[in-house]
Amino acid sequence: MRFHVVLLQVVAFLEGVRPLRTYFSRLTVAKKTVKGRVVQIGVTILLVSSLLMLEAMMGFNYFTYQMLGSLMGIPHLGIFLASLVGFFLTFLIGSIGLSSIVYSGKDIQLLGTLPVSGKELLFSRLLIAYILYSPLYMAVVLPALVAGIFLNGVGFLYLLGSLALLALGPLFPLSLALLAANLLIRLAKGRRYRMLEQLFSFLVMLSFSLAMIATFSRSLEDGATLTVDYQAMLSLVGPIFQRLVALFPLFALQAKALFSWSALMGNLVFLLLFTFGSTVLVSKGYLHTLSLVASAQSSVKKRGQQKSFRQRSVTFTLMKRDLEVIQSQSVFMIELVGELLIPLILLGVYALTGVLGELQGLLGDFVHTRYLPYGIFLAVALFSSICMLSSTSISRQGPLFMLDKIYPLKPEQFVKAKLLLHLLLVGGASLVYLALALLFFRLPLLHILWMWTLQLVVVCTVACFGLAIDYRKPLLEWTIPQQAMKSNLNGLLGLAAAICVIAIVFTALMVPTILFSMPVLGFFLALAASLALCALGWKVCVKSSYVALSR
Amino acid sequence: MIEFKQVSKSYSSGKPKAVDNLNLSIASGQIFGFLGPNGAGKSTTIKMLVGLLSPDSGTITIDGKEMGNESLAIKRLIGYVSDEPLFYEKMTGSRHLDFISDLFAVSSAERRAKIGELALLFEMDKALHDEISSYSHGMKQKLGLMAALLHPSKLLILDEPMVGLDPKAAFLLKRAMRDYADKGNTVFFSTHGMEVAQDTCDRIGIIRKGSLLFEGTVQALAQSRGNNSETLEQLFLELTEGTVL
Repeated sequence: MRFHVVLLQVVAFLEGVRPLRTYFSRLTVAKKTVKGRVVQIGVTILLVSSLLMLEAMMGFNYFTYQMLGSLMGIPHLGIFLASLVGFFLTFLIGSIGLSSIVYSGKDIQLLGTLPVSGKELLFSRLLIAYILYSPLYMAVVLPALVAGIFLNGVGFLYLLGSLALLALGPLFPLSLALLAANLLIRLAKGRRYRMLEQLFSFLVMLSFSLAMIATFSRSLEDGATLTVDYQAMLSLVGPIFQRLVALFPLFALQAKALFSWSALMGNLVFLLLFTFGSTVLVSKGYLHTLSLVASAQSSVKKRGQQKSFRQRSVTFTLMKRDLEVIQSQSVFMIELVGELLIPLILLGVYALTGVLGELQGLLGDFVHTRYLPYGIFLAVALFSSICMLSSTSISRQGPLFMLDKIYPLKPEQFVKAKLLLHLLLVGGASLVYLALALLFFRLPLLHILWMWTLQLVVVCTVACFGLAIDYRKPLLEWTIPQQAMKSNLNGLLGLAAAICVIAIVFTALMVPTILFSMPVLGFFLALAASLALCALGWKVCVKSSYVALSR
Repeated sequence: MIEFKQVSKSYSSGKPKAVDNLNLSIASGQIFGFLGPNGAGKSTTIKMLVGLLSPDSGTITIDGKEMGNESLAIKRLIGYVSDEPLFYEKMTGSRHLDFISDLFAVSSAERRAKIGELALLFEMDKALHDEISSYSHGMKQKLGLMAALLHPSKLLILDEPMVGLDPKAAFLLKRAMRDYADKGNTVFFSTHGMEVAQDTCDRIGIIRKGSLLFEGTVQALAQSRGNNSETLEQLFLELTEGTVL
């Protein structure tokens, strides 16, 4: 194998795709005005400080667990947990997107015709995957290593072990994700493997969440809270952590490797052997697997017979088109179905396993107060706002967005269709959640009238701002569909806008209710606030659409 | 130079084959035009020829080397331009050419001379330092052609190369193809342009529904149809559609 050829490919990918720059390009403003630059700098500072704050909070948590661990005879508990969470997140994200890099990247079609051997191609793809996915692992584990320094000090072994964990730790989850992707593609003979992959990662996430929540909630009592009272925590979660350490000896070994030479060597040998073994396994027939994937991309997909040609309204046609864009990529489908249905699935599973009752217990006296409907409203509004349906709507169209510019339609018509689709999907889902929550807490179903009315306006407002963000700077040139949704900063910005909208509306709802005991006034005030925001959102959105469609 | 022996390829079991038992031999020093209606199997054949797809059965040999066993050695002999230009969009044109030169181990002096020559030929000298994402389709096509002609190769494979090219670039490409073949190399290209095929090709192959219907010179095709005055377009339609025009 020629390593310089491997490096050439990696450098070409990074230069030619610029994943980081593409992600942060959402922050740049088209007009290089002073105002634009101020906004850009402000958003960048906000984003960086949020990241640093998250790291600091994680560090504090790890520090707490490290202290707790030293009280219960697991001296490296914080690092153990960091290693476990880092593994899980990297495996999850890797199993969603690794195959797009290793098997179906658009550039593979180019490289496949050049004088590059299968092994050189595979090795370069693995290096790219490592470069793209390992920062997540590092971001999760680094705070624990820093927290460890405050407790244990820093020595040569600790430093070496930390570097080894940061650099080589991601290899295990990525190798596992690679094996899973390889197996799925071979089993599916290159067809519909993306759907299988998304389902697989969805199941992994669901199982992990359920296992964690069930383990924790079953050990909690009514009114119990997690505080930094070490003695209380010790009796509360001590047995759980001991069970976790026994269940996952590899991560215990990884934590121990920072303090023991033998553990460090053992960990290194395991990681390198596992990575080597999985790479060898995957490299067998790699070119054949690429051919399978390429063949599947060319195969004819029949979708039943064409129904009779019937004229439909422009709005309906555009809504249907947007749905077809979603259907065109399994990544889009799973992402949106997941966003819309995860709360429902979780509620169902919790209800069946009895965890829901325990969660209700955790809510304590709040359930019996007159504020419960407001809590439900807030929870459902937040669930609805995590949806990236609108804030990545234009990005999902990719290069086909260009077609919107040549259709003889006003930009408002595209906006209207996109908003209606958002209302239909998200508004519909929120109606179901509201009804289920009211039934579960035995509250009068009449609450739905004010809740859903307000919810619909909030959902519409959130969609307007989300669309405006995506129209302002859509990510149209994506190499893999994940970039259009998961790796699209517009989704995150849309979420931030949604939280601001909900905060304003909820404040308007609660202030008269709490201060003057006037819930009706609260409702009308919240409705007025949300309608005003909605009008503003519509205006901003239409303006952005005009700019985008005339560029 | 190129030999297909009983090559078949199917995308789904139970469906008609995209390429069905293809037997074809192309000698060195020729321009071979591969013609056929949409969905006939031209692109599938080309993708197998460049190693992007593996045939279900049969063998493909290039310059005596069998694809699959010696694919790396074969790829060194090939310059390929796909029907849809494939690039790293954030690269500049010159960076792309540098990348391709590195993979084909083209020396600095050689690449500088060749890039300069090709850039002038295709009038791309000013655009080479721009990001590829800002190129038009025709410019991308030209860049693909430059990359394919950059390294010393024996076989040029072009999938619909004329699409998007302006008349001058199309003319220059036809001349470049002729010069290339006159040096003892081979050009294998697919096209829907019958005039291009008639003007440029030494031999043509016509494929329909995965099966090769004809292989030989345009004159031989006319003689086989018993009419020497017909254009290639008319002969092609007669053969593939059964339509007499």
